[in-house]
Amino acid sequence: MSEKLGNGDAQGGGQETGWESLHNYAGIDEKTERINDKIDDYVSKGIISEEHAERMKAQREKAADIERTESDALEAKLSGGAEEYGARLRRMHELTEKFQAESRAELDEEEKEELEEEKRQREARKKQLEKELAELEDKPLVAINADFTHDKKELAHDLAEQDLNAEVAEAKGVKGIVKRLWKGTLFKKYFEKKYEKEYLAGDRERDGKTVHELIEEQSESAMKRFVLGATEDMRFIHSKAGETLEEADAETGEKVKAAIEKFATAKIPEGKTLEDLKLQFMEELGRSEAEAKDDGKNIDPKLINNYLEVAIQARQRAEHGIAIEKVMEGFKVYNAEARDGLRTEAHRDNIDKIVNKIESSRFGQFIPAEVVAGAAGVAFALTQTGARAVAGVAGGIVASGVVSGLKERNRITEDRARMLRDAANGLEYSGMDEEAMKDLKGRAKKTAKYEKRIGGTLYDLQPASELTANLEKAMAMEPGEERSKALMQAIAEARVRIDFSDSEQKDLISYSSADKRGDERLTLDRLLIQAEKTLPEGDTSKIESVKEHLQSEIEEGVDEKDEDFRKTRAWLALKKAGKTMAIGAASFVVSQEVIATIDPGKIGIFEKAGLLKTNNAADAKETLLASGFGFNRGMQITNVDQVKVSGDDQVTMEQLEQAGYQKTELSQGFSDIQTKRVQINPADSDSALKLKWGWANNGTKAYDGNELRIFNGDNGSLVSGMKGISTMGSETFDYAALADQGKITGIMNIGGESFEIASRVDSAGKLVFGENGVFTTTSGETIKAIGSNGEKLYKFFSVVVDQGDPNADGIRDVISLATDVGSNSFSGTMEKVVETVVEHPGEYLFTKATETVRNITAAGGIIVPDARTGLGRAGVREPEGDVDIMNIDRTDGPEMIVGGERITSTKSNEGNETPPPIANEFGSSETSGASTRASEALNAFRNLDNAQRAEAVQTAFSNMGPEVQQSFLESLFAALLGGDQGQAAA
Amino acid sequence: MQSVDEFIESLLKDKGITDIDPEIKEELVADMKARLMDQINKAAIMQLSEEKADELARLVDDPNFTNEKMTEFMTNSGVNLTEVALDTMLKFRSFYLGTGE
Repeated sequence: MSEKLGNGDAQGGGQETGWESLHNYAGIDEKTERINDKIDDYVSKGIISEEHAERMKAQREKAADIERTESDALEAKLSGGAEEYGARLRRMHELTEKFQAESRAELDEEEKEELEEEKRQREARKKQLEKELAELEDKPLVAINADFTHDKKELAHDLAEQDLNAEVAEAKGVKGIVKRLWKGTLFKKYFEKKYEKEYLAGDRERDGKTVHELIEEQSESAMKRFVLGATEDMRFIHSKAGETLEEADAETGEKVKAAIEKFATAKIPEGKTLEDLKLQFMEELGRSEAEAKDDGKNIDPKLINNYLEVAIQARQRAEHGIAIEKVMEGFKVYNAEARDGLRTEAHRDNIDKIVNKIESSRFGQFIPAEVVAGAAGVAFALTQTGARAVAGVAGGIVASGVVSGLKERNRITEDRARMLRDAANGLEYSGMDEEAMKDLKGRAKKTAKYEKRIGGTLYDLQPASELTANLEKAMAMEPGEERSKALMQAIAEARVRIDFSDSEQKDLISYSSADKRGDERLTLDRLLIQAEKTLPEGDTSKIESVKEHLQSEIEEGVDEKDEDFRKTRAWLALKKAGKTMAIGAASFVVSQEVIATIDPGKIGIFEKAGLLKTNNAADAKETLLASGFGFNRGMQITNVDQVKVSGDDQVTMEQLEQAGYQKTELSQGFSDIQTKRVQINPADSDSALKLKWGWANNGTKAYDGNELRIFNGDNGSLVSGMKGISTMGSETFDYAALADQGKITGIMNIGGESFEIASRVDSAGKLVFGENGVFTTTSGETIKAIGSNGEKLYKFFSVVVDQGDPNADGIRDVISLATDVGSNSFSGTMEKVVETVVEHPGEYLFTKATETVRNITAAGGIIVPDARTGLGRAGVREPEGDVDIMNIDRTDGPEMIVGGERITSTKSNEGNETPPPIANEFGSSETSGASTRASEALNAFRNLDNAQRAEAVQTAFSNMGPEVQQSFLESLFAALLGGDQGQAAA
Repeated sequence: MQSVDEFIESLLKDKGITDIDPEIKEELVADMKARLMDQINKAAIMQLSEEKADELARLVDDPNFTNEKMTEFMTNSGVNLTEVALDTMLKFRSFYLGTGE
């Protein structure tokens, strides 16, 4: 049936050369058999007539002849028979033309077209075969065992995301709303993960194929790259993206080599075909892999390899008479890890891995029990009272606004990642212009606006086909300076984009479709390496500076887009959070994440609003962060336009008032008298007297013991009892009369210092000085002048007549009537009780919020309320488009006004006049609305049990800023101490 | 965890599930609690920063990284666990009762 050509015989016939046992004629025969079976089937079904069937079979036979001739021609080329090759080719062409001429006459249009198509495919296949055979001619055979796990995971993720999006998009009606909420928002991540796992496990398929099968289909280009990497140039391996290529262990190499050798030299048994041999080859290899696994070796049956393709190549070479030892010379097996997928990731891998570990039950509950219990207590309390007002009591834990902002941020990040991947896969994002958007309504309009905004932050991608074309064009130019320049530019751009995409995991190259990705990348890689090899030596160093320049341009462009994206994401996230905050609860919780999304250095809005008033970078950031979000971490506008001033700083207060600040009393001033006892050395006392002494006598001539008219009292005192007249010169002193006039006093001399001692009158009308040995001066000092044993420690004690006020020199005249001499052994101190008046000046808050509000809103900012202090805080809004976040103007005091009307605490309260929920948890505000709010909060707090209260207080405390914590503790201790100053002093 | 049980029971009550066999109720509460805890766990993980996620991804491979160490890690991870737990609970409740926002 087949025509065999002998040497030089161009006409057909000729001797049997034995080729058929070595060629793939079996394959051609099998194909003929299949086609004939199909034809017979058509006849049996009445689709074609028997006559038509016969004609078709005859055509097929001729086509088979041509295929065999073609095969012969190529093999002749391999064996070095150029003349033979040429002859066979000519023969093939003749047969083809003859066949075509005969056939054409018999064919209808459709059949002609099919024939043409078959011809085209044949030619393409021929070219490909020639090319590959030529490339492999001198190269050793290389087998690759590749792990596509990473690419499978990425594909599984993409497919899962698509499935979920499709489900959510199709969901309709009430159930649809729930479905959209459940799968599309609340637990989107969970379902994405679930579907992804199902894809990876093979339980979910796309178009009837598992992920493994899909990847296998797409793996051809990657496998070729690995072969080229092993045999030609390691630059075919995208190592920066994480690809690896390493020689397998010796045992694996030997096993695979043996299997290939067996296949390459096997004769096809009677009744069997080459396909049977292939099956047998795969079974045997698979069996040995399974055995290795049983031996404890880690073999993954889902790896993709090219063993069969290599075995076929080996067989083809052997069939051409090349000894099997030569065919297998230099044979190696390599293990590879593929990263053929797109580079863009949303940093999901780590989260995926952790979630997997959690789901594999390796970890149980790892959020501390007390945290969960605390949250549950609050949640329970919240839901029992039915009011978000309780959130204020519980420490502002409700964070619906913030958390929704966080969720939004994650969603925006993922959406951008998806758009970048789509763009890299050839799905162009062109965005919608304003005109077109006007026609949209509702959700569609929102989606279009959102996509346009995100789309503006996508990277500038360059199609792989363009990069390839640039290289080809440059290489085709005539040698010279122009060619050098063009080549360097083309190489640099391609290389820089590839390297950046691989190392930064951000695609800067797009492909015409996901299917073509592998081939286009391989083509680009190959051409790039070829171009780099053709670069003249002198240009090799120049190109580095070209690359550096391009790299920095590209990085700058990427950074700009990333920065645009971050800002955009921040706007959008805040917008979402802001909506909730403006409408919903008035209590907030600090979120580091949300605050971190804003880089104050880049948000010009704050600079425009004049909020940067410090040169210190850390302060500036704190100010701007604080001003931006209305959270409790030291974010007050206080830093900018609120000042706390002590009540005794009149100067500052006046200055602030003159500057237009409004004054609010934070705490009242008061005076406080404090007493304390001090010890004084008599010599240092201010009350020591300067005296001029006179000595009167008692009227008797002789010293007869009546001079001492000072008696010891019963309880350590001194008593003065005198009668009669004393004289001094011509002066007389009537003691009783003088005592009535209050001119009799006591003077005690302690260590040379004289002090006037206070007295009292006893029941007998006598003057008594001191008690229990303690004497008090008229200035209030006390002196222990008589010891416990009755010893008189003073120098002397005199009862004197006070002659009146001191003179100009401060000297007082006294006339001693009686003197008691002591031991002058006093060595102690006098004690005095000193009273001090302590003034507490109070504290005032000066606010200039009104001006700041105007500045901020004029610059596009907003203020959101803060429940803790009732103060206004600056925020941000979209620089263009509708304002969804309300502007809040602040009037005097802590009351918040929104657009002229009071804001309400919950949506259900919209429209009524309930004042804003802005009282702090532990005090009351000065406005009636805030008082109402505070009392509601207090009532709700009272409804909690002790454990819940304790938890609520603890949580509230931990969420307070440092200043508020301090203020809270001071108030608490003040309350506990009950303001008892005496006890405090003691 | 008494508070969580209370929360779940209040959920059942608000849902109108009151007249059921105690054994069944116990099982129901246990099942819902397990689902809620699982969601809280995942919600907390999702809030990890990139650096922390990277660190934890490495730690989970270490067989010596016990549940206690996991708890300690999450406590010090910078994620506001109370906020996450409360938010998850409220969302769980609103979905369960069909009052989703």
